[in-house]
Amino acid sequence: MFELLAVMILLAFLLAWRWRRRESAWMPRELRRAELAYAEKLFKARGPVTLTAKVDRAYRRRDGVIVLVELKTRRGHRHYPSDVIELSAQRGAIMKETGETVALRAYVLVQDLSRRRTVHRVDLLDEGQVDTLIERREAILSGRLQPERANSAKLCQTCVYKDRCL
Amino acid sequence: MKNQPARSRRSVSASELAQMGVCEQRVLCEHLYGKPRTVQQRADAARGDEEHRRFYEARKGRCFIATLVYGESREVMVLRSFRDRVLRASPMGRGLILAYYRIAPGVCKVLAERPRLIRIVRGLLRLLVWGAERMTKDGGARDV
Ligand code: SF4
Repeated sequence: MFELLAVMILLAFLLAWRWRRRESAWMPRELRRAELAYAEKLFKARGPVTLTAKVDRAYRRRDGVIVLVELKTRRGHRHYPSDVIELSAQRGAIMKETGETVALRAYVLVQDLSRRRTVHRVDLLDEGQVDTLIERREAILSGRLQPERANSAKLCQTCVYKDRCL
Repeated sequence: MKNQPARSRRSVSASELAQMGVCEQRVLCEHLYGKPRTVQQRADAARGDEEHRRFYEARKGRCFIATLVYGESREVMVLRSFRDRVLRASPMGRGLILAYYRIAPGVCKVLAERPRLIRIVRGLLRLLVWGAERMTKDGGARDV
């Protein structure tokens, strides 16, 4: 009986090891030993403008600092300034709601159509920069400020507002 | 000119704010005219939602093998009792428990997609339950 048990345990280890390897192959070294603190959780930072942020994953490192990971499904393996803004806003919302420290460095996990994943380390904006961006957005929406236009012909070509905007 | 708001301006989500990094004019257009989506954009959004769901599921990690195989049952109680009364009593046993906690979610993930494998594991676990029951009755439990 004990031989059978040993084989079962070995098999279980093997299956689990294969699964873990596949599931966490993308993980940067600093997150391998971190615990998952939040997954798909909504945070709210109240202020003149309430900031809400849904976090894909947030890991708590051994030193207690939270590190954010954002999953993006796209065709090309690259990250954009909008990813940095989104993660920075998430950072601000978590810090304001929980009081926890969130790293100024985060990860964008890009997954393509064939489910291949690459991870991109990004430096985030600080809270002041996020607040400035929120104020700028408010000013644009209220007509106090002229918005800047994208300078990418490719982006404009596929934009649903191109007839109204150009 | 003051723009007419399409909805409340007093809150913003992280993903809405992120659009400021794409095109500020588009942020304004969305605010004024709503968010029409092309067929391609709708398909991309649906795929994104599905991948997020998978990403979330892959990390939940709450499943334990016996519970998955038997549900909340007598067998699970026996195994829990074996864990608490026999395994926890020794450093090696505690190490085994820790190792189990690390691998169990992975095993569950594999099992969850394979009902036939669940039946096989159920059969094999019966032996473990039998052994655990004997040990908790006969020996290991006496001095705990
Ligand atoms: S067409 Fe779209 S992307 Fe281009 S400037 Fe206008 S709103 Fe921005």
